[in-house]
Amino acid sequence: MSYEFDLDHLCELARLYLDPEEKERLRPQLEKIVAWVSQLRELPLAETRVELQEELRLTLRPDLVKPSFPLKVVLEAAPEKDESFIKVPRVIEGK
Amino acid sequence: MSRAIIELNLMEIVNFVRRGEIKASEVVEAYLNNIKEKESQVKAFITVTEEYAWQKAKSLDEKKEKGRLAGVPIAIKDNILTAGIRTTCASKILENYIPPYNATVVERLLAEDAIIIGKTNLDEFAMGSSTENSAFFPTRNPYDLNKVPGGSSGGSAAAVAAREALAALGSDTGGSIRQPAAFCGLVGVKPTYGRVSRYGLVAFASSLDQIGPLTRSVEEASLLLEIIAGNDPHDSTSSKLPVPEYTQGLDQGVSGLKIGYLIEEKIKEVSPEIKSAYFSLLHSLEKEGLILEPVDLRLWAYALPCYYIIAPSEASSNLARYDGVRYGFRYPGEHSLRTMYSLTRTVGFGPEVKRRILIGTFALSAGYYEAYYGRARLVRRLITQEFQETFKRVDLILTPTTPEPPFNLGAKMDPIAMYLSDYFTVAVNLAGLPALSLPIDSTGEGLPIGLQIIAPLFEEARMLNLAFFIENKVKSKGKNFIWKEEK
Repeated sequence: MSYEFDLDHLCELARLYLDPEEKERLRPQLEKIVAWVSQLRELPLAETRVELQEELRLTLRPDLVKPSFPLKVVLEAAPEKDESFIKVPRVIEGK
Repeated sequence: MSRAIIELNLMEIVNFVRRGEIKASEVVEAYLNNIKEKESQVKAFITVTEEYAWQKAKSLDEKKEKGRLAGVPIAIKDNILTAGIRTTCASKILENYIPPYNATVVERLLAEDAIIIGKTNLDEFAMGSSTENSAFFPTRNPYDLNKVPGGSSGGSAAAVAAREALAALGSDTGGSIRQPAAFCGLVGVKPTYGRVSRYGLVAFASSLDQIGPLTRSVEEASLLLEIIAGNDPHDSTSSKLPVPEYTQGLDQGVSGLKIGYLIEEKIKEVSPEIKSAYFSLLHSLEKEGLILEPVDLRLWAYALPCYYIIAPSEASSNLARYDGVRYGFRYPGEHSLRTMYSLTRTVGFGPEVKRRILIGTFALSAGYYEAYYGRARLVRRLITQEFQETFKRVDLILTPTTPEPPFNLGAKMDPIAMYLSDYFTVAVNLAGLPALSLPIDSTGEGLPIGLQIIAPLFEEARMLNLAFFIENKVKSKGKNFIWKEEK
């Protein structure tokens, strides 16, 4: 199956900018990868159901309140901060 | 003494250090000296924790009761969090990230008095099979500096092979421990999904990732696995099954074990030297009383395409967190929030990471989800069932670890050609099974050849037993570390 990549749309969804050169380089690679993974279409799957294996079932830990990381520690990793806040660009855009 | 110390194995080091016959600081000194000598060529480490290791060793020398890994200089793949020690994932986006906490596996190693000697190079976010996708520099194979060490845990494998660390931790999402172990002549274990806590492992594909050891022997790998395995309340996928003492049962007999193997027809594409090492090993095992049975894993060929939908889909979701807001790199300057996100990610991620994010975004996007991600999940289920059926007839499955020996740096520019390096390993991750690679021979050029042993869920002990047996009885040559100068 061939698929024409809407690379602009995918970049928008993935929050990536690609310059035209990079797009031209990536497009054939991505199309080739998608064509390659499309061989899964050869398999008949109508009867297949996905069920969790017993051994791999999730367990939850007790719902207890425990201390989280101190504010100071969290802020140390932040790229920009202002007193006790992580600083971000304006969230609501407009005039 | 320095020369002699780096020749000692893990159990010997621990015994000497615990008895006070060698100081932990002497061990650290020997390894740091070796790093100074070799690292400019091998380039296994992103960060060498020289000062930290000295401090730890000194305080360990004062300590009375020493743990089961006393004085062991260990290298940690740089996608496993180490509190206060930079953890980069070999990505620009985390270049200066210092985690506030330790991964559970790191806590467990430190509790036994292991000493972190450094953080090792990898393909960015563990996406690759050669360590060439690191945003910083490629690592080289200590057996031949023109060859890759494999990946993505290539730095961990190269560090142990070059004796820059006594042992290392890696992570394996589609072969990232076993393939570099094969390329660097080591034992590398990918445990059952859920056997080892993933808390503090930077997530790539959460339903596939597992942490495991890379060592020079089966016994060393068994001890490390014993220590890092077990339930962790911080990882809801970690199993509550008790952890066996893997080191205790290693010399149990293996006679009568039923071994599943792939017939010649199934491994046509494999390099002749690997094929011949594989079949001659099978022959030796048969002579030792093991029962060989061909297995027909028909779906094996679909494992790679299945993996290359599932893993990028999970990655595109996991890597959405790198937005420049709470930690890591942020693109500087005055921009709108959306623009800041995109600039940060565009500058922060390398080409293979972008490729996988875009493939994953595609496979999960409206209109394509069922045809790609949905279908891949079903195929994954079939692959898992096929293994379950096969393990009703055989105790273990043996395959080559890799289709070819270590390749030259720069040899695989085509992404799909690179993906094929993991031909034998990805199916195991899809099914959640444990597997290991161990060296069984070497090529005419002196490069290591690995054998993969696959076991049923949580049957690590069985595969370690056979590996121990092979290591001691069957293996003929190719064990010696040969230091080759760059041509």
